[in-house]
Amino acid sequence: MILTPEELVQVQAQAAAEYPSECCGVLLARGEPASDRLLMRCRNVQNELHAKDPVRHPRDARTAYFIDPKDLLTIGRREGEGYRVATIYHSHIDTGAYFSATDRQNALINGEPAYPDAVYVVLSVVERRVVDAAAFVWDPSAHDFAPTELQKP
Amino acid sequence: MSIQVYIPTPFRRATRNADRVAVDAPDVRALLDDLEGQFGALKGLVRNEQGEVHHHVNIYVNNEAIEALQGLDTTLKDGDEVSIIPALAGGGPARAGGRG
Repeated sequence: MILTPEELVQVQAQAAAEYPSECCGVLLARGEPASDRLLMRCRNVQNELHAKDPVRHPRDARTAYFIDPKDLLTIGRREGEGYRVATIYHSHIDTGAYFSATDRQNALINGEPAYPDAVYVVLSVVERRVVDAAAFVWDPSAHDFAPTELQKP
Repeated sequence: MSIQVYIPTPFRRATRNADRVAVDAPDVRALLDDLEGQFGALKGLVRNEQGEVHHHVNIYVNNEAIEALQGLDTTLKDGDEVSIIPALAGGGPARAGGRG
């Protein structure tokens, strides 16, 4: 399961609370099936990056997310404990739950997916309400991300 | 002297799936040189052609980002752990409410 109903509720609550900023986080999983699960809410530092260097980071957190490097270090340490990044989620503000060109660009490193086995979940938040959510996975044959089934909010 | 380097999932395809690599290097720049020598596929993933670390890559010595230390000149000592972690980022359209 990409996100359990309880996990999805938590992610939706985070997305609504952080509106009008995009929220972000990951689900770390261990074991087969993924019975050992850690939902890790991350900090979006996009506003700080934008304030510090608006040329390199022209967007603020209303239209972008950038997971706090400290959270990335924590994720890395968890990977060392046997967890894998199973789901990467973020919200879109006042627009749809789709995998944007920016999402795609940032999910690739030299044209290959950074996390080929992870599911990307995007939530649409309009006027502080989560109105939709969608999931996307890497399709090796198409060499692109494609929609996959996610329980609707 | 041995420095443990943590390799996260996105870079393991370049390290033949190794998640930890031991390197003997006096500073971060020499460590990256050594790693790229061991794993040619890492070239271009962590640093650009000018030898600068890509802005979407974060390097830590123990728990400190190298920007808060001496950058690539940060000295290393036996037992240090170095982590090389690419950014996780994205976002909606360039203008809120739009699409793209």
